[in-house]
Amino acid sequence: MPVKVPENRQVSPYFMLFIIYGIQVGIGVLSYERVLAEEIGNDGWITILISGILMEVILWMVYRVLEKNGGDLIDIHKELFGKWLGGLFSVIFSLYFLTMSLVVMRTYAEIVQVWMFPHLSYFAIAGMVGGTAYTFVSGGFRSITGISFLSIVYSTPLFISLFFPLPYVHYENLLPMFHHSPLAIISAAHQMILNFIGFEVLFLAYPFIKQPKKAKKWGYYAIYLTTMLYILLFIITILYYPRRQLKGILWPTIEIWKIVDLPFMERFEYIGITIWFFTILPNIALSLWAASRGFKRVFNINQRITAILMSILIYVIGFFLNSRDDIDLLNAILSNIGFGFLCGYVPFLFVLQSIVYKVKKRNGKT
Amino acid sequence: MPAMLFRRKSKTNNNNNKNGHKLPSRAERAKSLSDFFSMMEESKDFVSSDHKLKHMTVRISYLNPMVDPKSIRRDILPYLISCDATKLEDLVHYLPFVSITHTKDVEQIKEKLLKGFILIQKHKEDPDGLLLELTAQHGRQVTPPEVEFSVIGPKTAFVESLDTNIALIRKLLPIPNFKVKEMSVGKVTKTKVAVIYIDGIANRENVNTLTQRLKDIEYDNIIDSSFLVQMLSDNKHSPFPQLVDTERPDRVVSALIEGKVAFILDGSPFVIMGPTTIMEFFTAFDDYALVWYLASFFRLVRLGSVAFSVFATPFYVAVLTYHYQLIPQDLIGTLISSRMGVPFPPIIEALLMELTIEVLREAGVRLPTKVGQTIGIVGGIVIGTASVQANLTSNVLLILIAMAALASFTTPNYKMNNTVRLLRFPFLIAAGFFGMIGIAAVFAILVAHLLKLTSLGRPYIEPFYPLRLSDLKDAFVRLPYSQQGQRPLLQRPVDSGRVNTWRANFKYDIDE
Amino acid sequence: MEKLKRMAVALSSLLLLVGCEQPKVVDDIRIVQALGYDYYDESHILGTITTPIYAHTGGSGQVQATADTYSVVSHIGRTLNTLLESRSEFPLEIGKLLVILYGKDLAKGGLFPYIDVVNRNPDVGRTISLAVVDGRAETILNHKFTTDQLVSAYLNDLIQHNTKASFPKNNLHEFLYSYFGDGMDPFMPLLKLKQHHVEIEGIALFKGDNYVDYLPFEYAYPFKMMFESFNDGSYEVPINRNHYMSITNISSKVDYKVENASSNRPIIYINVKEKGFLRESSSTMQPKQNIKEIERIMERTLEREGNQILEMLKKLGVDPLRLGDKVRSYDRGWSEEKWRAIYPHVTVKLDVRTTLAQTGIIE
Repeated sequence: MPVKVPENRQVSPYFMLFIIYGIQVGIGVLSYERVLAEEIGNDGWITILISGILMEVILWMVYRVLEKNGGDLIDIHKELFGKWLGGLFSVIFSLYFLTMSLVVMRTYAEIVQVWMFPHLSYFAIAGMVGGTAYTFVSGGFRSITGISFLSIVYSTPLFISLFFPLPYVHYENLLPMFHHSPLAIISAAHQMILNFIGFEVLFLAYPFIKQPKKAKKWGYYAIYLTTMLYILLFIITILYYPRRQLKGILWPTIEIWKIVDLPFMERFEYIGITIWFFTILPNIALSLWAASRGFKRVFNINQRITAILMSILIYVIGFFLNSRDDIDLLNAILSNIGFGFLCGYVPFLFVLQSIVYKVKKRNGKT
Repeated sequence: MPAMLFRRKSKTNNNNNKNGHKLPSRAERAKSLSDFFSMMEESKDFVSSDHKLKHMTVRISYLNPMVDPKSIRRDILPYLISCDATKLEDLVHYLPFVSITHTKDVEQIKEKLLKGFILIQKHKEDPDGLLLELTAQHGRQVTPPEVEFSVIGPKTAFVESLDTNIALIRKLLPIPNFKVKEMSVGKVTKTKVAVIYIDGIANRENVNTLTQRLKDIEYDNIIDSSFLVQMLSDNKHSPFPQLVDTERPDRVVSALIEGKVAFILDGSPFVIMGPTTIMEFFTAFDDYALVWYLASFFRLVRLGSVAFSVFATPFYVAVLTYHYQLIPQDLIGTLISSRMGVPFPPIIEALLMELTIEVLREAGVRLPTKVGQTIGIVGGIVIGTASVQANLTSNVLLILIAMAALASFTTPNYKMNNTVRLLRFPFLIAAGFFGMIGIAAVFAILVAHLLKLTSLGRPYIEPFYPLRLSDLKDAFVRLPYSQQGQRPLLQRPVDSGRVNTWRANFKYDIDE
Repeated sequence: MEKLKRMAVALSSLLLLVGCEQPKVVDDIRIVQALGYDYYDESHILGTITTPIYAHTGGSGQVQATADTYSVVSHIGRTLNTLLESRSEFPLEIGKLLVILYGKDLAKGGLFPYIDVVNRNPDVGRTISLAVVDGRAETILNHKFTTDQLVSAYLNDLIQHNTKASFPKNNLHEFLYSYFGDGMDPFMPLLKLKQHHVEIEGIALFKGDNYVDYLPFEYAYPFKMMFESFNDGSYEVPINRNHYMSITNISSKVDYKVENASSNRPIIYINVKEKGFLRESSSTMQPKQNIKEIERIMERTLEREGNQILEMLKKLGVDPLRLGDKVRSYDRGWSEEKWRAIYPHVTVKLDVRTTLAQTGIIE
């Protein structure tokens, strides 16, 4: 009964790295330094480290749940909760991903409006992003993996921007270390959740990976890489800005791009935001795909139609979120839901599944 | 009767007795043949005459222009006149031909007569004859390639005759595994097509796919292989060609050895090969003739110039229209003063210039050579300089567009050249409306399209995605021969080992 | 075919729906390169801008630019922007701003409102130069200089070139860093118009965003030596009463240590290690024999001047050297108020070690 995907629609195991890395690094990374600095200051890098470790643990749980079942989340829900309740949970899961794509799209549109094109309407930006994302979704999981891989390749030039702040760093900003209480450091981790969510897409994408056992280690690498990136970026930002200023800067990562000075072009942040278009494409494409696939698996409706309808839906809803506060609220909601899902629901599934299996085994024996 | 020419395939099969249907009777065949003859006799070039031999009479019919006249006088008539045959079958032994077809099949007679064979019957009404192949060779000699010229390397190119082309390839591949399978396509033109591959290297799937697709073609006029390319492509609406065409035998042979499948159309000097990747369209023969780092460098230059050609003008438009902040301090004076007074916004200016270049290009293709030089000078220099001085365009943009046009010609493949020319325009328009975000969006759509593209079922942008590191050795750069011990994975060759690299790279120790 | 038709319809309707961005075509805008603020009266300020006007070349290749400078008066608290636009033929764009000047009188009253304008605008870069003018900003911006560059480029180059040499590193980012940072105060170069040149008179010291005083340019090198590590610049060393030597710095590294950080009397150690070579000498002494002697003289001179600077800073109550920040990194209970209170009484021990590497090509 677990779903089987034909081999020519599957991807090689090492693409797990790009899928997970691609969906985690999205729009959170552009502004997380401020939130973290406000809450915890210069010890924030410890928070990031702890969050990363937590995510690895959750990933392990996700793998276990999927492996034991052999299929994807819809199958798991059906098995544990029965057809109707399981279906409901799966629908909620799909809506969760739909919200994710909405958040990413709206936040990116806001960034473009603030930094580059104040007069450009939301419709144009969202249309471009949404339309492009849809062309990938319609190509299937393989083409989405392709764009994840390629956009990571395209965004490597952005790493040179990490070298330019170095003449201006003040190492004293990191000291004194361990300035805050361990409790504060750990509780600040909930601010980082928004930057790590996304790998739950594995719940639907698992059947699409060839040789899933080999693919596991790539997943762990991906979270490791994401964590390292966040820590590195955070440390450089802390060294570069004083704390009080950082609290007022809405998008520290983009501000850092302002320093990059290349001989043939100034104002690197415009290039950075353009390259960021490619970074968020895998996020939106994967989320849309996951949402429409969830619906397809539960209700058996054509995924293409669902995907188009969903794209239009988020296109329209995004229009009604106009102000900075609305967007902040949306991000906060997503962050809380994500936190609940990752740190609550996944362990719950894990525990429930092992109990149910143990019971089944015992019943089967007698 | 016109109906005969457009008769559907199924009816033809019946006559060939394949499905066990009743053979048409002699009377039916005779009638069909005489109808055919009466139609042919309306054309002046159909020759049909009786000849009296020693013991019998024969009627010889042929289409005059298609047959070599000397051969009839020299190779047929003397032997016929002096032979002792009494029946049609015996004539076979007297005529100095290796293969003579003796057939009662009227459809085959009609087909071969039209292709230039000579028909020998006992008398006109008899639906039973001998067919001899004596077609005259009209066509050019083997000449150097025009499109894929190489500075060093053989200067042979294919011609229009299928047999000559196969001969050119056979010369380079003297192995029994080299298979040639023939079939015909096109309802009216009935053109011969040969599918060639190396058995034991090429993957059976590729061969079968190609053969099946050829069989499924429904069209009446197949004159050139480029028509076939469009019909055989996986995605008929893509601007990117999915099968690579070449006019060089050496390139075909290299491809076949790697495991590709190719087909040759009679009448077309281009051989089509597949499956292929996008990088194949940017490789030239000279890449393999130079030392590997030189070759890699030039290949990178080529790729860079294609990228420049597509993106330079859109970036200019985007930056000048929306993102003046990107321009370095020292350059901004030059750019502003060059644009001062130009009445159009940058997007219109760029579009006008691009269209002018396209007009120049199209005109240049069709001009007779004598006039070509003048137009080149007039178009390029006079129009360009004059429009800058008249302030209709800025000189910086002119430089960019001219260089972009020049850069796009570095593509060795003509079809890809056209694609690159076209690709510039969506980027340009997107840049004019949405600046850099527009360029990014169009680029993303382009990538999406390429990701979905397949060539004979194999991914088109391999080796980038799916990432095959071993195939990267011949994509962006060309690593030395000592590194290329395996055949590329794209074609899934049956036998992928190429050479024994250990033996090739073995080095003696110092002073050994 | 169906898919193509659908896509075409979707795309064209998209284009019709959208509000397109307003283009800022590069020759239809006026690029503001220099900005100046002056005190006008109690409730007004004078704003000056300089924009280059590029002459039409018509293909001849020569780029001529002339500067167009004009000023408007506006109420404090209102943006100058609308008034300035009312005088301009094209929209004013601030994206290529190079330098901002503040009149000294205005600076005494607090500069932050005028800096916040550029801080908020995403178009402005962070490496632009800021400076206080001893006099009025509009005078400098309106002046015709002998260089062929525009006044904005001239000023920017003047400041940037000097920050590589003897003047401490300074631009908008550094200013904002020191302003927002705890335990530090910002500073800027102080410019003065002298005949047909602009001169850097010294380092303008700020308390918060108010101008207090300045350090003369001769003290710029010792200040920079204590402020950051750098590889350029030169300074004079008096050998005896009438003889001076000019030493060029190859590498200067500064290091800080704090003791008793949490007490009321922290001790801050500033250790400077310098390497230089001899540039000029006004005496005929044989330098080679007395290298050690010269080094000691150098050290003592620099220490003396450094201590003079420190005294002055403590007396004024400003902390541009970021000493407070250094103490904070050692003390968990540090607070800004406490620092401000104890700053005039902290002990700072300056220690300079120099090595003279070369003496030029003549003995």
